[in-house]
Amino acid sequence: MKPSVVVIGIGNPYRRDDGVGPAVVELLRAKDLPGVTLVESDGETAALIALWQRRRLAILVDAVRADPPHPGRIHRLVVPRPAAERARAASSHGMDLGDAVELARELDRLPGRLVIFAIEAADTGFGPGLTAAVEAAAARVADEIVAEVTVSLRALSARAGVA
Amino acid sequence: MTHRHDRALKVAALARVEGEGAMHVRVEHGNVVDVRLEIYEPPRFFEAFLRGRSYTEPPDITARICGICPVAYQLSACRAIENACGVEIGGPIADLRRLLYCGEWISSHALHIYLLHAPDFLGFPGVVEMARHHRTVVERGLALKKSGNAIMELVGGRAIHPVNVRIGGFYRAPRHAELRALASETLRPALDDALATVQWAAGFEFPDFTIQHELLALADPGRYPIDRGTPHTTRGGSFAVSAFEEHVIEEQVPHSTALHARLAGRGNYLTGPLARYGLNHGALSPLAKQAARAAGLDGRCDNPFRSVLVRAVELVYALDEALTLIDAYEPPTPSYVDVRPRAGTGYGATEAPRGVLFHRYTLDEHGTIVSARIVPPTSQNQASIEADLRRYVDARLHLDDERLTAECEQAIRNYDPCISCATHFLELTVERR
Repeated sequence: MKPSVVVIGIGNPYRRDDGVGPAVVELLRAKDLPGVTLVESDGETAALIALWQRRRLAILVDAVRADPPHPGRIHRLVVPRPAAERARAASSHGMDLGDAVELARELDRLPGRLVIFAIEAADTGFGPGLTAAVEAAAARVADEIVAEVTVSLRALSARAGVA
Repeated sequence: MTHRHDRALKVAALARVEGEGAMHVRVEHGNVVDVRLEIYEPPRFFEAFLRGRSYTEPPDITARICGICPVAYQLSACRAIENACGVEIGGPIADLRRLLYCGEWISSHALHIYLLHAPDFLGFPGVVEMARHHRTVVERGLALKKSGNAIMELVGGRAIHPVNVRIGGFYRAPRHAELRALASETLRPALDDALATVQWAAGFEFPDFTIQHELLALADPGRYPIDRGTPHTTRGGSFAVSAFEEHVIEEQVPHSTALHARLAGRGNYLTGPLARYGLNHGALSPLAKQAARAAGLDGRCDNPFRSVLVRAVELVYALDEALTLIDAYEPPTPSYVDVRPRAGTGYGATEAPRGVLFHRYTLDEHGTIVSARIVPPTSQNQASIEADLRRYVDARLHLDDERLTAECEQAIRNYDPCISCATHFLELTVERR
């Protein structure tokens, strides 16, 4: 059976700040989170759906572009939400994260709870390494995810205990 | 409908191609005067990035060029570096590589057919709307894609950017029992889904449009080309992989950082499913041939809109071939050949889902990369896509801008351009004056 929680870091580490999702996953690997699947993804729709379906909680971390930009600013979205809050992912693929969410909704394959951390990117040019503002944001997001996952796992085990 | 002779319109991002880029169409006095596919190429960056790295690193580094076809990059890189080091991998390691590559074909073709291309034929703006009316069909597409990913996870270590591939072979070979379970639980049902896909796609309506480009594909004696082969063309015979750069000339064009490829002395050409099928349909398995015949495909498919059918036939082939390879599987021991570096240049080409992917590496005596060259399929097809689009638009100038743009988008999707390999952003602009 799948662990009930998955954290998915979307992005390409060779496209500077686009690699913030995988960078957050890397930070979480050092934090020892039993019962949590940590995975990198390029954000491809079918793969995302396969990763999050039948999970109690799925947390996505992705880079976004914003205009005007505030590099490192963190947006936390909980799905479902009004469409106005939909952020277009800084993905190199034709279908974006919003499409994946909508397709999963159509097919009843959304997780119990889907939380998206979108971090505003400064530089998505070619090359490894995050800009300073985004690197700092990655550390903050990793801490927030640890807190969120811990609460969620505690609630799940309490529920299992009652059952 | 507009009847203006000179028109200009700008449309936002072109959706449902692998990645993003820009397409610009200019119409003056009722004539198409310019069609440009604008491309900014990551492979050029990776070529520079690879210099000074160890010969063991390209499989992992180049896998990052594309999330859809990482195995193609890994295995073209392995073949080129092994060639430079004087090693030819055969036997069970080569078979396991072919199996891994089948996984990528299945995953990539299922994605393109179901999530990106089919909505065009069924009249939906995208797969989300298609799922609302054809839920079972979309579920079948996702299951097919998952079956390809399952091969990549088991053989490659994970589906995205597989980590089990190394120069000389694999870090770990899967156990026979693991592969047998994959075959019976996942791949056999997926083969039925693939056959159903061919039947389903054969019912689509295809616009009447044919192309006459020279076709370029690998040929691998006795079998359909995937993980190796010798370049063949429909008019020019064949040449060695090491002579690829003598026969495929790349030129700068002002509107793109990508190079335009042409065959020396002849001009633009097409690589990808139509070329593979045209040059190698006789090497398909009996089941895949039967599916092709039932779908009305004969020896050559000249209509790019029908490429969705060819991809469906290749989906059948890749599943059939994966099952055959698993039936005959003996775990290679050890799981890799020790490849020692030496100074020299090596060449490698494989059939990525979108066509021939060529790599060349020059190493010094310590195995440090001195130079690297990567020629992805989408940039090879760029000139042919532009030429086709020019003819396609010319015959449809009576359409209003919205309809024309939609039809251009569909026409571009025929080539399944992997813009994440070849470009950065894709945006479609139609300008009429």
